[in-house]
Amino acid sequence: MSYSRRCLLLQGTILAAAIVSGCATAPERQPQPTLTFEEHTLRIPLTVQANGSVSLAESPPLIGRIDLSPILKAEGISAAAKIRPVVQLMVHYGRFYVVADGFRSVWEITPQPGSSAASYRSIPIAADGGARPVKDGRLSRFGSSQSSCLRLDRANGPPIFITPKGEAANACP
Amino acid sequence: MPARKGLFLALLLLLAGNRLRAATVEADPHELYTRASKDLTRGDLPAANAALARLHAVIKSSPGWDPEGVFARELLPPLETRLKRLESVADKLDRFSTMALEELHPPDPLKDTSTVRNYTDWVTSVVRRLRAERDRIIAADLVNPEERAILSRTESYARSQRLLETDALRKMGIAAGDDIIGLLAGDPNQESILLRFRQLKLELMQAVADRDRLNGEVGRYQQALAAAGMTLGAGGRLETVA
Repeated sequence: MSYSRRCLLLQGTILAAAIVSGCATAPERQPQPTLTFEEHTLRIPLTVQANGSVSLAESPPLIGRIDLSPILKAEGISAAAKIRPVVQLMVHYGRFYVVADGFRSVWEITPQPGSSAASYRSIPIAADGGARPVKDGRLSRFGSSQSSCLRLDRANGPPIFITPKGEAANACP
Repeated sequence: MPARKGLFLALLLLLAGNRLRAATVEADPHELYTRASKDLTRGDLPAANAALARLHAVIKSSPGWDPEGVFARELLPPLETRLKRLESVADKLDRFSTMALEELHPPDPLKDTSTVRNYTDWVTSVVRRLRAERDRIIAADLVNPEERAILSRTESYARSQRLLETDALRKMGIAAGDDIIGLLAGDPNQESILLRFRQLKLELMQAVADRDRLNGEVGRYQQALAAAGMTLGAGGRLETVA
């Protein structure tokens, strides 16, 4: 082995050792600190405007506007009907949940911080094994401080619980 | 055959009743809280008390309804404090009304040879004194104008108002009416006063009768609404009772 090759090998070994030792001493990523956080509202009834939006300013201190048109369309409900639909909204740990008479799902709206957009998804609720629309639905919180669910009571079926994982269940885990 | 028909009808009614019962959702803490707040705002203190008692029972029997104790620790105490304060003042007003009515003694026309003018003065001064006394009771215990406004919608306040508006006059009318008429009758100089006094007495009796009749009608409408599962909410709107 020539001198230059031995030098290269030595340099490589030193470099490898430095990398390994460097990795070993690099600061470990600390888990983010947490603090006590309870955030929710009582249920808020909101009247849907003809354009399918609701104004949060109906229930101060919340202000703003949510366009529910895609949700109403999916539920087959017309916002322009003579009797304006009234939806029930509840804020539960940063997410908004919406339901109304005639809905077949509870809708979860997740705001995208720093923008005027929010993602949304339906959480289907099957009443009596079928897909009967909600009648006289009422959103509440239910559970414990370790596992707080959203509870939907209705006149045409047993209560439904939206678990912390965002699934519909017959009981709050 | 008629017996069978009757049995069939009874079964039908029973089924319909069960279906109606099943179609209602049990009142939850949020609803009871809202109901208690509304009842309190419209001055129905016993109803507010009943809703709060029911709410306590619900969260005690099923703590899941109040996961972080938000109702028990944060929402209910201020409402209950306000309710207790209002109930205490309402009690004082009730005692005041009872005592004031017992102590109302119109002047005796035969002993004092009073005239209608004296009676008017008596009623005016008594009503003024009682009103000031009542307002002092309220001002001493209720600083918040909103709470004073709520108190003015309570039955106790209405009772004190009746005392000032009609009961004092009624008592005067009962005590003095016949005596005054007897005293003034035959005196041509007092004939016009006598006539006016009779008119006033009739109007007063008519007003009291109208008020009693209207109260009765309101009671009947409220019962009919309650039987239909409805109640009269804020702004006179019909609301469903769960």
